[in-house]
Amino acid sequence: MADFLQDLIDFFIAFKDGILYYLPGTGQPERVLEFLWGHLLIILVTMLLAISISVPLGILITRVRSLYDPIIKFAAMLYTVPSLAMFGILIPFVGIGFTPAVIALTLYSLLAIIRNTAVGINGVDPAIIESAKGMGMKNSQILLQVELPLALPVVLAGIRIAIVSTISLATLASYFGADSLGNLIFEGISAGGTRNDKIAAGAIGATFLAIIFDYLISRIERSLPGIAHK
Amino acid sequence: MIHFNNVTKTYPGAVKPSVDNLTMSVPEGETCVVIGPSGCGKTTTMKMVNRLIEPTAGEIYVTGRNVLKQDPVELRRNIGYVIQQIGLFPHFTIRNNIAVVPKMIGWKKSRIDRRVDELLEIVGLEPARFRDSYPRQLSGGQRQRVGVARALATDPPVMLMDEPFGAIDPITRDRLQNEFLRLQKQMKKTIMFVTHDIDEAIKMGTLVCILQVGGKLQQLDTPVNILSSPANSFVADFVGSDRGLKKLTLVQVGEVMKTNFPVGRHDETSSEILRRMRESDLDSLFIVDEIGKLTGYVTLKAIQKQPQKNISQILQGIIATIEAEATMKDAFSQMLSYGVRYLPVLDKRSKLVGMVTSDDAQRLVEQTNKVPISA
Repeated sequence: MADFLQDLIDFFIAFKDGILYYLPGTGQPERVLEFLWGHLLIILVTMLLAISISVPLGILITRVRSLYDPIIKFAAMLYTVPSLAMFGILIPFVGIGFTPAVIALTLYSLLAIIRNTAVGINGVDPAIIESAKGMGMKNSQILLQVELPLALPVVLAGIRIAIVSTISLATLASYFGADSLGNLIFEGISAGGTRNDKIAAGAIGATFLAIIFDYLISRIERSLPGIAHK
Repeated sequence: MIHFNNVTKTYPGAVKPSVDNLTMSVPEGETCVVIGPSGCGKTTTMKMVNRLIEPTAGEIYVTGRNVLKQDPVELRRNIGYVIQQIGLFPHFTIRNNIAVVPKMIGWKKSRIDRRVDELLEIVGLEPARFRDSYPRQLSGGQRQRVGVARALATDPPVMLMDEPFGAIDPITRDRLQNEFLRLQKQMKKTIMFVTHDIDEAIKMGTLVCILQVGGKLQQLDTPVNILSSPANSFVADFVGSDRGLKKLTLVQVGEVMKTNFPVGRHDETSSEILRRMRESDLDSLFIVDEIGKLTGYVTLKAIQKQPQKNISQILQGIIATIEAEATMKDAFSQMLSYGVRYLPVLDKRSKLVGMVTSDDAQRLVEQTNKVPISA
């Protein structure tokens, strides 16, 4: 019991120290900002790539049914590759640093977005599609004006999952030479328990980013027209 | 206007065709209700007109042009389409839902705005209140009105309606049907209307097309002829054993009422009234005032019992009346529920314009009995 209490106290001290690391004087805000920016850059580039690959693929597998299984299974297979192994596999081809980080994280994001795009489109009420067709809308108009907007909440849910996992996995990318909040965490770990403030600072930054992105997406979701505001 | 020429549709993998060598026509301005048991191919038949389903063989003409030789997108934009589930776009406002086809064919914004408001008025929705609403904010009946408005957006000459009032509660359905009938009287669209409800078919159709399973045409005729002379035992069975009663819904009181019958005036003497009754061999007489308003009736018995009293003293009140616009079914059910054998027919100012008797109703029912009775 005493051990547990001591651990709990240590945790709160580390958390406090982690916050102090962000402040000028007690910490190194300029380093934090640099890593936060690096982390943000990895997330943004990853999501941009992941969305522009996954959404078209998600649409494709709703049109060509025979591709549904192979593509979903391949994305699922990529998702199950352990992250350290994934980075390791990529290094011989693209070296270390930002590039392998973005590639690995993009590959991890594919499954959630492809699947949610397909599920979202397939979930559109067939009566709506039929009336769109019956009014003489072209297939491209039906896709862009009806199916995608109506699938958007489900697609966004997939993007949300992908962003959160990307934010947490991006810390690992520091191990392979990319700048992210992971740098602080790894520095803290290698200090052998003397710099737990750095571990906490990295974790707090990543959590902060996750909350911000989650909020932004929920704002987008709520601004969609004609959907009941919850 | 809509013409099927030996049209057959066999779905892939099916042994028997869903629609089998169908040849029929819907002339301009008619509402043709296609009806039959489930699996009779009525929806398939309708969807081949705007090529949501492609026929296996045969030709379909709309306004004289073979639909199979037209671009399906172009074709559909010229045919109004209403379905049971309505299919409004939930992320579009009511205005934008109605504006889909006008926008696609490039109408200007001001023209679209004017047309949307006009259509909302036509279907009985206040433009200012509904224009910017989303479908989820509307009731089922209101949504179906928008569905009809959307189909009418560019004023297409032909409309296809697939059980348009099927998913609506009975009271609202009745009202929407009546409103649509009134609307159609002015619009004179050529309509193909699918339903599984024979009462709706008789009410909405100027023509009723009865299909047997496998898309075999059994009879295409006016509702009256369908009811009074079914082509075969299948049709007779399908319209039901109460088809005589159904026929009463097709006849308005004004069409069969007697207008030339003796009446009494309230200022006449008892002996004058009595003489008129005896002349026409009647046991009662309607009494009207000087401007023709119905005030009541007198019976032969009452006069004979109290010959010295004047008419206003032995006058009895009327308990049930009917208007000329009502159907004979309404009239007959009034007679049954009040236990009377005749009804005075009044106009809006309570003037006596005619009378109907239960014999009139019975005669209409009997006219339908010269039909093959199925085993």
